[in-house]
Amino acid sequence: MRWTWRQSREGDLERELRSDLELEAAERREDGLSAEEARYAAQRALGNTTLLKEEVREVWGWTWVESCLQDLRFGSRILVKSPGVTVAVVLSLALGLGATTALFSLLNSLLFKALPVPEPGRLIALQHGEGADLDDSFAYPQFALLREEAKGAVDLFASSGGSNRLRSGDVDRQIETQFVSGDYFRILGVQPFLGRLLEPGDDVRGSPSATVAVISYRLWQSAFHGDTSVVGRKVLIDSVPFIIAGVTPRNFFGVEVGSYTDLTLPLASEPALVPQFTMLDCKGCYWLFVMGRLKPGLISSTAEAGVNVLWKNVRRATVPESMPDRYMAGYFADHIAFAPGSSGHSSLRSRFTKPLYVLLAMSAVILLIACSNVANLLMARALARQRELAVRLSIGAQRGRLIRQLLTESALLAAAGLLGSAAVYWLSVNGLLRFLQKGGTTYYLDTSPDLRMAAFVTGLALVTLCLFGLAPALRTTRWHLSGALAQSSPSVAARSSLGRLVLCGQLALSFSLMVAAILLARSLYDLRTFHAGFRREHLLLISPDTSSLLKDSAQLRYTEAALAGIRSLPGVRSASASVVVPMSGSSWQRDFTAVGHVARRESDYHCYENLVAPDFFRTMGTRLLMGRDLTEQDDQAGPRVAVVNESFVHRYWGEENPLGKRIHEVDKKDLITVVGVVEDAKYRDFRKAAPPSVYLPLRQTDSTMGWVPNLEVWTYGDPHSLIAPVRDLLARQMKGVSTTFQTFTELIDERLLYERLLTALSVSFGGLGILICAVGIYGVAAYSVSRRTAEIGVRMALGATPGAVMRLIFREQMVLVCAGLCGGAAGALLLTRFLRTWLFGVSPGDVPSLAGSMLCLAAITALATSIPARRAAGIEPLRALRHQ
Amino acid sequence: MPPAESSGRIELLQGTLDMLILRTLLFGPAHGHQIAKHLQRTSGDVLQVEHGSLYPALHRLERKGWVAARWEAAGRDLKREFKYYRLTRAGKKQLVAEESKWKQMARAIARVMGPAEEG
Repeated sequence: MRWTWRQSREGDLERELRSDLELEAAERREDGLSAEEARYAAQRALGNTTLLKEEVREVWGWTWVESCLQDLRFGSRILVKSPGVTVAVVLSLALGLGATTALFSLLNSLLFKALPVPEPGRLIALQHGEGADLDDSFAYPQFALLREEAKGAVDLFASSGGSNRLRSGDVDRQIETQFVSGDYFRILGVQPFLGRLLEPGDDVRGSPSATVAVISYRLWQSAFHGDTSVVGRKVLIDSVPFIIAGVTPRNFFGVEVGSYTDLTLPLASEPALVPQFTMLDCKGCYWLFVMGRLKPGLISSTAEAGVNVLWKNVRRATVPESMPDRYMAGYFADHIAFAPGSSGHSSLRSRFTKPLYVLLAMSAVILLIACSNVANLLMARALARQRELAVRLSIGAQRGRLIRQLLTESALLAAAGLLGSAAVYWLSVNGLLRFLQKGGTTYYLDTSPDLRMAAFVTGLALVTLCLFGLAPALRTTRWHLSGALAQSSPSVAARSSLGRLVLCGQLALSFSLMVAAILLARSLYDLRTFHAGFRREHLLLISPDTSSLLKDSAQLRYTEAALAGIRSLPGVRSASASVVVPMSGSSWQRDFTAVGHVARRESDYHCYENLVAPDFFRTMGTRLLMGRDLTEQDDQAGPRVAVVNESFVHRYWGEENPLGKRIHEVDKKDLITVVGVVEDAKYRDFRKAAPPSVYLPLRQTDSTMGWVPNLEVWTYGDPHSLIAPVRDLLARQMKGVSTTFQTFTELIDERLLYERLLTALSVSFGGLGILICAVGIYGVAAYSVSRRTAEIGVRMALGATPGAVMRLIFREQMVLVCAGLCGGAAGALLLTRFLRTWLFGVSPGDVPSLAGSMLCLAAITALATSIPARRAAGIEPLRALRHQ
Repeated sequence: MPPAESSGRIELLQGTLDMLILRTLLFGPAHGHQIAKHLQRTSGDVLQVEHGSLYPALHRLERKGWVAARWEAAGRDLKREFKYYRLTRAGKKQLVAEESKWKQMARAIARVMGPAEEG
């Protein structure tokens, strides 16, 4: 717009002046001059038209546009002239900016983003516990009572996420679901996208409307293709019929950040879906997230105090029947705490916040390295242009104008870097989300940009621009004119001391990153390979979902039939079953004691338990140290027996022979005889010592409390090859049971998610840092050689050998590297302290890792220096002196 | 701006050119050449307006909105177009203000200069 307007103005003035010129010439002709003379006279009368035009332009304020365009044209010409530097700069900026922004975006979505509901600031999340040890799960009877009692201060609602099978027409898929209390949507303030949402009337046990469901926009699109007739349609959820009442808005994912709930059911429908064990009646089952909206005019702390008074009554009224007396004191010491609920709750937060912050710090370091590298490259180039700038300054160019010229170049680079970083951002956010998945379902994080993101990106870009652009610009225009013009080969040391300092810092930073990467990679390798008390290869895990179909005894029969079938399949070495799969994250914990044993503290009775089928230890690769394995004969008819692990033996009997000893549950009298001892095997955490564990035969247990035994198969070859035959076999034995398959290696990799994430990223960051550093070292060395051409020529003319010249260059660089490494060692110790949680088998100050990183960086420096050093050695004295 | 080395011609005071242009346009629209000739004629050839100052001044007035410009055909055969400037309402107001300021100034200068001439 402005441009065309400007063009027409220019033409306008041109025309105006021409018409004046013609009139003037015509008048002169009338005065009697010849045509040619008249034209000249008119021209003279008009004067300096270029100056005139310039002044008119100034009137209209075009000059700054003009000069900016000039800067841009000149800047891009300069950048294109040295494509190597430009590409290096743009790439490192893009990677640094993109990665930093991506990690911030994930943190932002995970921690800060408010739920897409009205007035999220009035929402609170309930926690309870003793002292500072808080938990955010509640039992239904407690929630139901507290909701009624606390009505005056806060509207409470509950939700609990899960996963169910949805069947409707040709749709048959496992989806993320949640049970919610009836006024969940009303209190949150969510409006239906289609149909209606759940209402308090739907959440009444036994009422027919308890079997209505609300689906998400996403599911509506993907499973029902946006069909509006979906409202009122009957669907099967785990083979229980439900009617779809409505669709939630597109941006509503639930209150749990990290997952996207596709189907919402009233809590009252829970008994229909899980008939054998109803959580709604269980006073000791903590499974609900409770949130609330404060009543208008009430502040959070006041409401919290009030609710705490009510909570005492609620606790008294809902004491679990089976709770041992010794837990009573702790049970009543429980108190309620309000946490801000504006950004919902998330099980991911406690796990991912710290790794993400560490990674954000690492990417910021990368950005810093990239910035300083860019600054160095620009500074080196500006130094090379020093004479040009000096000449411009001396013929009257303003310093401000020159700075603007240099800044324009930086801005051009930054713009290209930003463009590249957008691509890097997109790739890394999606890549990270794909990396962070559990059992095939991707975490859902709303990473759409918001104000906080915009502020962060703008701030980051500005800081970056200043860091790498302004400093060189200020520095290069500050020289004394006479000095710059007079000296054709200024002393290098003085000129590039800042550049060297920057390079030192760079080396230190990338050294820290590298140490972190090496430590993490070594930890991951150890975690993946050390003997944890079980094998990791050639194991296939099978989880049949029989929960909604079978009673306990039928489940056991089903498991045994399945085991018999699997054992006869070719390629199977052995097969077994257990209620808990090691390292799966779930656990059974109970208090056991040995006959005659008195512990000093209650917690000293605490044991981990597993219910297993025969052959469990052979299948898992856990060594049997004494006695015998559990067998088919250990059933209801036989005496009760158990296998325990070494830690158990050590706690109760020390060095005594444990075989034949009797143990029992702390509150029960049934005696169990120890028939075998196995080696310690990790239960659910690689970093913790194996807990004292008791293995009981599946056949001797009355109830698995709704838990379904998982099957473990030890195979000869690739476990994946057995998935198809096992699936066929199970389908024949029991129709309608859905089964999930996973190899044990896959399960462990899932458990090692943070370690893998941190290692993968820190290794890439470390590599990136070194790459950027190598470019920087090369740049500085090459620059130094080119500036010292004359000096080196003199040295060689006086008899220095090429080898001596190379040593000279190397010595200079190695001093730099040593300084950088010393700083880096300190930085590495600091950085790796934060990594301690994820390290395994190595200490933060591990000497081989430090030494390895040092050697590696020294090698890289040598490599990057060798090219300019060879060039220096090849200098011909005569030509070098003529160069002067 | 190049100094006008004129014999018997007076260089314009800073800012007066704007006022003179506005005053000229009070008689009706005119193009740049006409304005220059008119100023020269009416001042009895004392005021010589340089193109180098006239055109920037015209554009300055146009930008401020005191004059408006339009291309119009003129001349004997209406074949040539000239950029005619005319006074706007704001320009008229400006002219009144400048005139009164000028008169004040002229009176003040006359008072200072008067006695010396007599004495």
